[in-house]
Amino acid sequence: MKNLSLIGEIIILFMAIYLSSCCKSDFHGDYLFDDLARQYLLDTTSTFTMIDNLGFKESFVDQSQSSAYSFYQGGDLDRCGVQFRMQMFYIDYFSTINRYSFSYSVDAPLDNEGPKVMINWNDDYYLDFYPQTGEIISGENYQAHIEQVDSMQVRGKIYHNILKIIFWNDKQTWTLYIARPEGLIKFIRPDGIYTERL
Amino acid sequence: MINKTVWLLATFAFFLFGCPTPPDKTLIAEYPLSDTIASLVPYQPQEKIIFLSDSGQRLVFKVQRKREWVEKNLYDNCGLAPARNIEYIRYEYDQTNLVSSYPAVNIEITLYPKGLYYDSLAVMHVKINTIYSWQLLYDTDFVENENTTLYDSIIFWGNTFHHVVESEISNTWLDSSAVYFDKIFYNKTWGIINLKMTDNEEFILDR
Repeated sequence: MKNLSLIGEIIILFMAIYLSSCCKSDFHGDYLFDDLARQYLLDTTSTFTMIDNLGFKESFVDQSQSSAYSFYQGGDLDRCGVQFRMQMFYIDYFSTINRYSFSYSVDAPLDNEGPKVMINWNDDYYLDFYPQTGEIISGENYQAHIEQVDSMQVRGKIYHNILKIIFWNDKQTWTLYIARPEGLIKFIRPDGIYTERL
Repeated sequence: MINKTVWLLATFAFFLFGCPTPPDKTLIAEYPLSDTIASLVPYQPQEKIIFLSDSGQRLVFKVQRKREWVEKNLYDNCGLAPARNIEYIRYEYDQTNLVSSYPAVNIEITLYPKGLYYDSLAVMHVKINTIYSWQLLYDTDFVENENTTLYDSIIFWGNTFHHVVESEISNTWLDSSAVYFDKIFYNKTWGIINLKMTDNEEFILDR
């Protein structure tokens, strides 16, 4: 019985330490996009169409609904009871034939790491990218690589400011090209079939 | 020690004798699928079906097919106090899947017997990738309605097809500029004859 009471006290002590350290955070107020974050915003085109090298067309349709049409997506967040709002951008597409999914979001900077860009491909691959530091965080069971490409030509059109993203593991590799501000302009499947923006 | 044993026995007794007896089930109707309705779908398992587009793309499908009976309870009290008498029906359905590896297209054609959904009509449900769906009703022929047109004959690429039903997708929640399959042309002899996309690209059956 004494042991139980002691364990209880230890748990309460740890919880108190955890909560007090968390609540020392100075998060409050509005966190807005800085210049760097703005460079990573994309067009909010509700539908765009792509074609693969075999000639199959399909559209990518934004399903983020209201969030697709506004750059200010502040939400009230709560950390240790302190309310704050963070500006964020979010688009979320699915494709009409192969059911690819592609989501892309930018969070305003909350701390020294600067803004955060999040990319999710087919719900299988994702990465968090911090443009200010170059840090990349990806999921398990695959690697992610990100590269800045100045310009590239896709179906006769020249795009600038491109993020080339490679997700790979020992079984497959996907390569995505995201131009700013146009969005997804090309991707290459593991079987080599590539799909380009029309 | 005695206390513990009593508690254990009580808990065991509660689960053993406290469980409700299974409710009675009453079969109130059976709906077999007639061979006439099953024959609306001409595909055989493992068959390869190929569609060609005007611009040369090939859509290659492999056929999977099953026909089975299922039971469906008519009264479900959402897991609350169990009903003492559950009424249920049995029906037979036929499901055919045309599966293509790339593009990843799965066409699912399900036949339901007459009487199940409509007194005198059988139902054919066609779904592509679970997103796009068409419902065709069948009496002694396909039934015409606002989304469905019947043709005595129609010509695609110089080939004449008879007794063809054209059905347009009814859910139009996608942007009008989006490219997707929105029309099918079907007959009993060949199954799907034409898969038409919103940009008017047609995938015609390669016979």
